[in-house]
Amino acid sequence: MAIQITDRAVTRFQKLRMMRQTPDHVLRVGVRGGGCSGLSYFLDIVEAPEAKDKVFTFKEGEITVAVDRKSYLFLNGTEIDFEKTLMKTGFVFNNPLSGSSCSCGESFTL
Amino acid sequence: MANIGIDLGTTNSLVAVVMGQTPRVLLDDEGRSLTPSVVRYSGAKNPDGSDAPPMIGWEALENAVEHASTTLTSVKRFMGRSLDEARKVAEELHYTLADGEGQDVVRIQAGDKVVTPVEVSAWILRLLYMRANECLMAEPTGVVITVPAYFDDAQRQATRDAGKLAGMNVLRLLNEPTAAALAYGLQENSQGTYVVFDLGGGTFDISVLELSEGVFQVLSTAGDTRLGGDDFDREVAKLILAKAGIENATGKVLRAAMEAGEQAKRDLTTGEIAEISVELGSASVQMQLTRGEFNELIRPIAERTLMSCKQALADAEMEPGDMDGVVLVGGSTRVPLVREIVEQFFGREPLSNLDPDKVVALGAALQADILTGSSELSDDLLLMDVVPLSLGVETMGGVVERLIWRSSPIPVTASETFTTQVDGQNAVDLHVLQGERELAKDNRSLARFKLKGIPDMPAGLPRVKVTFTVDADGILSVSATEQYTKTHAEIEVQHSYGLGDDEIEAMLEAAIDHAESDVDQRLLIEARVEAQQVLAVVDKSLSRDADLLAGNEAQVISQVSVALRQVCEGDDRKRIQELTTKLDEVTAPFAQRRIERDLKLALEGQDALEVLDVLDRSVKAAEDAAN
Repeated sequence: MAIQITDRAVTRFQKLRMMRQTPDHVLRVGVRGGGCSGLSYFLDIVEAPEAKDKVFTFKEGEITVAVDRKSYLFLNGTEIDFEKTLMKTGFVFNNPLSGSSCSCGESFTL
Repeated sequence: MANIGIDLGTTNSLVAVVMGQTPRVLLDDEGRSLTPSVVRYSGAKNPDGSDAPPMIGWEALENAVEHASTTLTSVKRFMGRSLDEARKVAEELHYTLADGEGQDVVRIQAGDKVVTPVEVSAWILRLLYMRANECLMAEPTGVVITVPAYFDDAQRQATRDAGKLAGMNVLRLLNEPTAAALAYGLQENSQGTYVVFDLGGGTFDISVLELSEGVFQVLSTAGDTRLGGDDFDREVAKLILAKAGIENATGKVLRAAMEAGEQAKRDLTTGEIAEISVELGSASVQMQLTRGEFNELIRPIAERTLMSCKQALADAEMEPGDMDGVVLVGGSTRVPLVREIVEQFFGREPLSNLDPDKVVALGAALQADILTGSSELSDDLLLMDVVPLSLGVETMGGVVERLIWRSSPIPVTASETFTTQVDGQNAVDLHVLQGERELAKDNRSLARFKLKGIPDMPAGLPRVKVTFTVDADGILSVSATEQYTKTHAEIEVQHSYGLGDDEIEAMLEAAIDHAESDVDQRLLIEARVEAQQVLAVVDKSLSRDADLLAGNEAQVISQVSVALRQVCEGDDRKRIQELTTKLDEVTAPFAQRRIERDLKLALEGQDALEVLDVLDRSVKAAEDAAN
């Protein structure tokens, strides 16, 4: 088990890095208390992982995803995907640990 | 949490943000840094018949010639202008102003739509704002927009209004030359006199700035609104057209010649010879242009900038040699002859290591970053620039609801709405906490206060808005306001005091070490709280409407309730959640009958207000059930 990222999410992340002119930045994901179903996900693009983060690399080291240790307890096995529909455009988390999600998909409970 | 800088230009606009101490321009999804300040009102409709948003930027520019009457460019020149001034500009730009019926607002005709310059600018700002939102994965906190140094109050107010209309928090307007100076870090010299030479596509501005104690003041400005790089292109285009024997070229032929001229200008920025090859309708031209020939073509135009330079220096009572630095802004300052002329006139080599198209946006981003308080540039806020530990309040069952997260730049404000747990609850206890643990008891208690005087209302109805504000000095104030009665209480805490770096580090470590058990406990408590809420509602309904129970319902409900009460004593969260859901299910038909009877009773009373009241309650009951 670890963190996975789909090709669509990789493509999106690479595009955002291009737009930001930060081609070597990493994707940092995590979980926070709050949101309509108890816990919510957050994403950020940062210069480097923090000292105690769990770090995963993809595409021959070109893509780095960092997760803080606390969040990793809730994200182990999660696949990060990117979705573009009429209703919303954004990264989505397919989390096997998640019990139920709220309808906006931004928060979940275990 | 980031502030952004926007260079809202006459021809092109940019957005930039500081990331890890470095200001960067945000590119569009095709990798372009410039966005044309162009808006086209295509007249397209949404499915519901309302006007679809206009095309903005490159999309609007693409077919600007075919759609000249609905495409608006250079709208910045109308910002904050009076009708009389606007008429002059409109004549120059071949715009049609909408006839104002006795009003003094400038309105531009775009096809069959009438728009104000502020609205058009707001669309451009919004596009850039959305891009920043995308790149930062969060809505920008605030925005700094640049304006020409010569903008008067009305022009500045119009720019501010455009920002507001675009839905953004405009922190400050910044003079373009000051932004350029900031981008070059000139404020670090602490004092001096600088000139900013800004030659864009169609306009030229020169500003003399005085820096003293790290603050810039504009001493004088001058310029020419009809002088820019496009004039260089036009000179080359004239030469090409003459070679083809074409007189009075218009439309596509003229445009092709202008584009070839622009390409030659670009080629000659680095190269010595440009190869020109262009189709002009039936004719075609192949020719070479050397840098020397090009320089002679454009020299009279380039030297016109010096008239404005002399003017600005005279106004500031300075000599060219008095300048401590010359900053180049605008794409047209890439032309080698322009640099040569500037260098000769001021007697020093101009600063040019930053991209002249981006320098204003970069400076705006730096200023925006200073305003977050997290920048290294701001020395007055160096002591504490972020919130060291998260701040929140204790909620039902002893869990923490965080309002401000660790590492948020200050100043910062956050609000959340809470409600009461018990019918007729007249006061709410607010326990302000600092830390990263999930349970209140494991965090540092900062303050407790009470919001009293809430009138009798059923549980869940009062809306208590709690607002946390940390000001630039790190002082936390917490206020609570009951939204219906406006009952209000507040307290002030100096939250960072008494905690050293080691203690903060230890608190963070503890949060990680206890992460799993903390969250488990939090979820368990939340499950219990929810179960107790459902049980309370069921008990209340049973005592009030027992006559509506059918068959063996009473027995089933009582069985599930007893079981749920029992598991609530234990730690089996899954079981508590299961039984809570089960209790919801077995009481659903009973709840339905209760709602129907309430509704019927109210309808019989024929009192419209009462009916509405019952409907409200039904909707609320349905919402509660859904939650």
